[in-house]
Amino acid sequence: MSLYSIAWKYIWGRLLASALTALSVALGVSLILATFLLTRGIRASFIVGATDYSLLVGAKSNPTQLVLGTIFRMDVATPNMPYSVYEQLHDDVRVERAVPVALGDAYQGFRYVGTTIDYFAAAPWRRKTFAVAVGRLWDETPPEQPTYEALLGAEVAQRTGLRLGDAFYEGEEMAEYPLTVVGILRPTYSADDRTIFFSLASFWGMNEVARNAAVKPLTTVLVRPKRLSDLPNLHREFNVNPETQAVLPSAVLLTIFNLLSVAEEVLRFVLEAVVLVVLLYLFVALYSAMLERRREIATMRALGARRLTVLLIVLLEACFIALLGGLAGLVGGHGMAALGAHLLSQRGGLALAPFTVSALQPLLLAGVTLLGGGAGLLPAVLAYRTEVAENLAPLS
Amino acid sequence: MEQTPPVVLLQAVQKSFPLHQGRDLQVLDIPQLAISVGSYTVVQGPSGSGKTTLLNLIAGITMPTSGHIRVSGTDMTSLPEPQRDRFRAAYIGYIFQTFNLLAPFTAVENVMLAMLFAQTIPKREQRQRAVEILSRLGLSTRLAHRPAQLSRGEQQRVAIARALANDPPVLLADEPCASLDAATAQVVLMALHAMCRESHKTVLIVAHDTAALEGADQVLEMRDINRVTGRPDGVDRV
Amino acid sequence: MSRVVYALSCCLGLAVCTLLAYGDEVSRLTFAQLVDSIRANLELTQKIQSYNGKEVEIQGFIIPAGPPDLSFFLLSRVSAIGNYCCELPTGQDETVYVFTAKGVKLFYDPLRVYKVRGRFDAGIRHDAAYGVSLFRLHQAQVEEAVGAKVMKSEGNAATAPGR
Repeated sequence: MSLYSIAWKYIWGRLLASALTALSVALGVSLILATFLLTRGIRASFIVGATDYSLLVGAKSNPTQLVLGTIFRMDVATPNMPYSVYEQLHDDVRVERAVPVALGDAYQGFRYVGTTIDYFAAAPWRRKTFAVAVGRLWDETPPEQPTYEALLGAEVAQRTGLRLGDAFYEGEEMAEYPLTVVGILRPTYSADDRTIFFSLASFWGMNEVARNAAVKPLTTVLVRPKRLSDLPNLHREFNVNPETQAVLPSAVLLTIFNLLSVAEEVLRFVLEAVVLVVLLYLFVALYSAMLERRREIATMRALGARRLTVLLIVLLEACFIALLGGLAGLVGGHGMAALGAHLLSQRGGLALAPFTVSALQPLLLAGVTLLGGGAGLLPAVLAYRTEVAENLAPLS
Repeated sequence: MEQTPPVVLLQAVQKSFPLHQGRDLQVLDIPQLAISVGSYTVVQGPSGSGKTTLLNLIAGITMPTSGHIRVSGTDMTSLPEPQRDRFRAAYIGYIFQTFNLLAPFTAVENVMLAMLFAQTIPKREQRQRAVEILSRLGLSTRLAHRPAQLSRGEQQRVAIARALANDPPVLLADEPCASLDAATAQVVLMALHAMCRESHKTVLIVAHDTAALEGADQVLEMRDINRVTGRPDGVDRV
Repeated sequence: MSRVVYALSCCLGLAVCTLLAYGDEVSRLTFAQLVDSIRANLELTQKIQSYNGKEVEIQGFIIPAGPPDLSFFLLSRVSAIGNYCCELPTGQDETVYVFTAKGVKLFYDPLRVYKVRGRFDAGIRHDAAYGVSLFRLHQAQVEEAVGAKVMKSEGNAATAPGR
């Protein structure tokens, strides 16, 4: 027998009511945790996945579409520009690295990307790293010869079941030019996990129009200047050029981030309201329980329990319920976040890194327990102030 | 002539309850009341005469408006509330008219609760002691039952066991047989008598049925000890 | 009660003094000054070097060259978008590499002039991630400049979008 067991007995005695109260706490905690994990994950994935190259050059179109198509592999219309733009950039003395990218069709929903192996090359200024899990990169010598060797992103291999050496194609007209898997990448938690890479020559070889064209098409060139201070100049030059546009991908992403921030603000309001409602519910549940329990409290006092003791019992009840709800909410929150991440990756091409347990979870739990205690404060004071003699017998 | 001090002593005790509009209702005015050690006293009086208030004062649940109350040599009226509560837990066993058992707890746990608040019995021994007391009152098969699963007689016996949990020198009982049938009432009264004779506890019963008067050392009428004359019925709990 | 009032007004006075002092401590640098400070072989004048390690404030446009959390960006005399026909090209002398303090939040607008306040650092540095730079601001705080004019360079009347 201890104060803890007394508090627990009272919770257990009103099992349904206690369970409902704990459930509402769980719901609130789940929502808060899931929202936090998802927004943080989305921001992180934007940052990791997108910013190695400070400049994108593409055909004249919508800048946002260019960024979304190139970096997030979303299915947006991206007009072509001539291969000579890449050659020009490659030779430009201000450019450290230029990587050509050609976006094409897809296999079972996983986009085709024609590029050079520079795409995967490490550099001190790169945040993103690529590693081959099995196999190798495709052969690039000679560059004009299509090899139809494909490198698969991690999720592609997982979902399609393709393995090293497998040949595949999509659509009957592609039957003549099947691709062979020569390598599979490790996960990068970006859209590249859902992409199939091969050489530019293979890309043009597969496409009937490109095969016969004199000027080979490209979608984008990813550019890293030697000096960042040259960015505004490069940016302006390629925008002024009638054939091309230049985009700072971070600028586009910042606009998206601004929208995300607005959404987060709204969500925060909603969550605060939810927290308030849950606390109110907890308070009302405990308060009405106290009113019903006045006789038992008076009895405990008559048996020699001090005022502080009965106050502590009620506070413990509140904290227990909040703690239980918090624990359930942690599990539910992670579940909700996992579901959300899955949906995002399916529909939006956004891959989130798996959620880890950090200092956040215990902090959230402690916060919930404290708030629960706060909600129970007034009912506890009610117990404290119970007049013993009046409440010992039921009103006749 | 015995010179042992009385175990309960009231001196110039007055109790009033505040009413609306600043008026007071005086319930008790007791110039002197002494209960001797090991005695079995019955206090009688019509409803509304302040019997429960008297018990509450002796137990320290209520404080008198003026006067002093000593129990086992300690002046209850001068103790601060937390110490009064602690004192009550250890020195006074109270049997309520309406049993007042705590619903979520089993018979054993109800008895253990009283020990928890007094903190005089070591934790390791509490459960065993509770089982012993309940068994002596014939409840050995009812230890794990909750009050809702017990008959009225069994509930009253658990209440008695709870009152005895801390081995208090003084037992107070407020109409212990009011809601019991004659046979069960008899059993309860016999148990109370045994407390008195065998364990030398002081028993003070408030009752207004004649069965309780049997074997009493002292029978007190409220109108004899209380200078406040009877109030009209129905104004009992203020 | 009067003691409380006295204590409060002392605190208030102290706060005002601190704010004023803090305000005074921060010097304003302009892009014109930065350009003027470069001598042959990219050496810098003593004057501009005297600002090293001190809090300065520079106004300009934000070029988001770094991650979308704006932990790093370029502060430039010219906007990333904007009037192409009449701007002079910028280089290392008119670009400040800004590293923001943790937790800086901005609603980025490419056409807005921003006030950036941070620890000034001048001199050529090579960084693996950010390349070569001449002027830097560390632990920077950023806010929108209200009604600010972009600093002119060499008599070219480039005025800012007034706010």
